Amino acid sequence: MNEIFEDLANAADELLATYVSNPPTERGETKAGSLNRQLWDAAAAADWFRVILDEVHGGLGLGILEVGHIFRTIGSRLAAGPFLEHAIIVPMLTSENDGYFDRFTDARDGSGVYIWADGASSHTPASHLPSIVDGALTGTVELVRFGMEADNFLVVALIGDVPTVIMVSADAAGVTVSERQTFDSIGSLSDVHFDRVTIFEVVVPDAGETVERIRNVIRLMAAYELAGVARHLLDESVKYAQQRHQFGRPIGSFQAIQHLLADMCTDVLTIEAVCDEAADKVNSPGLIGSVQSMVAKAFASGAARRIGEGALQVHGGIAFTADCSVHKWFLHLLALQGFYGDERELAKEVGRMLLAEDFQLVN
Amino acid sequence: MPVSSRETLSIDEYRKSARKWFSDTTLPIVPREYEKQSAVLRAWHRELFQAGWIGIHWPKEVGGQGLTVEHQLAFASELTRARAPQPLGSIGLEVVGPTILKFGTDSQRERFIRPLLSGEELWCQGFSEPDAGSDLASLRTKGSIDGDHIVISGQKIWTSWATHADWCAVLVRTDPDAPKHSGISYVLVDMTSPGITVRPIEMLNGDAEFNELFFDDVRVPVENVLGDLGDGWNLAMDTLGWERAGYSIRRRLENEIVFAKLVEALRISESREMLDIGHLYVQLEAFKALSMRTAQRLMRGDVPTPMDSVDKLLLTRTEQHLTGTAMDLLGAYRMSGGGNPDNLDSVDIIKKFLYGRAASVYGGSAQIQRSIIAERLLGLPRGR
Repeated sequence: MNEIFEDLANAADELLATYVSNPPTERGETKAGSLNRQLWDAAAAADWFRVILDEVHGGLGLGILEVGHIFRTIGSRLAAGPFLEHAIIVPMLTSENDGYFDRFTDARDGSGVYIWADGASSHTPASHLPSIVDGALTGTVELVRFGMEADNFLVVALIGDVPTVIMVSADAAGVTVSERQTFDSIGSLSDVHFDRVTIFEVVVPDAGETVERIRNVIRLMAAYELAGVARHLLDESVKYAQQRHQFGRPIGSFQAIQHLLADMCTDVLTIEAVCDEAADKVNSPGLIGSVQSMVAKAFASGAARRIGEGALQVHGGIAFTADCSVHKWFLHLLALQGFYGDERELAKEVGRMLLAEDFQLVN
Repeated sequence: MPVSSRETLSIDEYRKSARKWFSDTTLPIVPREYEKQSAVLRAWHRELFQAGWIGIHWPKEVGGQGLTVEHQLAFASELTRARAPQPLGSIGLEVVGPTILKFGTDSQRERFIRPLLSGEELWCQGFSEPDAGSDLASLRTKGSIDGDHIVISGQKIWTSWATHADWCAVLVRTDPDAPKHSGISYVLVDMTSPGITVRPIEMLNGDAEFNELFFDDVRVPVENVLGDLGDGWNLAMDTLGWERAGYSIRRRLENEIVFAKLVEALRISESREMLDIGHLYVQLEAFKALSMRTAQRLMRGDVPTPMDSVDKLLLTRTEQHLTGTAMDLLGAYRMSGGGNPDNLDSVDIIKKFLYGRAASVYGGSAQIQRSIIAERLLGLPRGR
């Protein structure tokens, strides 16, 4: 790790330690209470939303690896907010469409909240994405995270069968956001319905490759976030195994518990390595980037699930109680596991790609 | 058909009479909210008892039907087939009740068994304590003899269904000077006794099935001690044997209903998750096969044995496989209520998955079960 990178990761962790309680308190009581505004403003002020933005546009010009480690700390601290949109998606769209730099000022300073609405996050078939016909947008995107907080939606829509990234105001006529029940310990979920919406802007037309690149980075950031959640669960489990005594000794002295923790540790270290490896390659041309991001997300999803279940097991009975905070990280990792594909779905997709006649793996 | 005339039926005819009874009976609708379930399930238990379907292999003289375990299994499979809920009093019927039957005096059996079978009285267990989980023998709740009463003070945790229970089987330390596993007594405590406080523990799936129990100088008649004073550990092992082996059979049946519903939902949605369903079916059938042997073993009174730990481990594996797969089938919809592409009951699936994580902890953790199997079934040296 170079110095800038270490400083950035540490600074991010300190910021979250200041603004996110440990464990995080319950979601706000109001429907729109899923965003921690103090944290949000502090993150914007700390330039989180400029990390990968190129220097020409006033960004820090850093890479996927650097921002990945911010997402890792977001996972370990269980911080809630549309960081993906503002730290990743908006900067990537800005690079695609220079003209949008001014338009996204409020995204960069956090005063406007932009929410990504892409059916691929819930594995909606491509043909079922919202579509634009005769200038009107119609369709529904389900499982939109923080949909209730949106000022603007960035929507992956189809014109014919061509993916297009458009921006729709949450207040536009024909837009309805309906909240969904969620078991996730942080954040909120909703379905966003578009009923012949005519007021929208095309941010990236003919966006097939752009959308694939964005999805690849989203998967990798979800993998990094899982890495952070997993690391926290391992650390807490080790602490508990040292403190909890039964049969006159710490339960961490029993081989059964040691082996369980050793397996969890192996998985944590591997997730971290897989993420950093993929960070280098995720923006590679062609399908390599896609395969890398899917591998990272697939591995992180499956391993984090094992780690979460192991953490519950080490904590024994108290893990199941609402009082013990371990479950909050477990619930969040379950939500991340399914986001943009779990290990089974992505393994199938990777298999399909590898077996395609014209696919070449390049080392 | 009158209940008594079922005695002369063959197993096959008995099964058919159960099937007919279910098809003629309106099944209860069980509320989704945990707190509302008790009243409905209690009434259902009584209905089953009045129709002669409870305590099928229990002796007639205590209120059972005096039939065989094969009859019990035949009925249980028809209950599953009908997607009917289990009777509510599972702790009484399958965990504590058998211990009372085995170790109780005539007057204790007379007093406790019939109301337990009929569902008039529901039972819970006061075993674990905050510092006595896996190391149950280190329990500290005190029981002091004061004339013709035993006075109980201390705290228990993880007591299932205590808010609905009428009676509690409590392990107390009556002789603090005796070695750890000795000096423990098994006491039957009326939950309305002054000095008992029940505090529900909210679980990560939102339900509050487990509870803490606080005993503050609770006076219990000394004739409510089951077995001999100081012999409680042996009785506790009997109860745990029933919990691991007998309760596994109940959970197997409940799991089979979950599986059947999943298959039906996926059939309708034209989902092609053949491999998952196939794997699950194989696992459930394997568990059923072992479970059949367990039922025979229980009928012979061959409990507790290290085989109970095998049952418990297989239950754990099967239940977590089933509930984990069901949740995986939800894909990205796994943590969300509301609609999903396969129209699965996602809230039910999520709650069952979260509850299923406790299967490797309750009744003794999976690690403890493996140690028991290794040491007592395989004869391996005692490890750490």
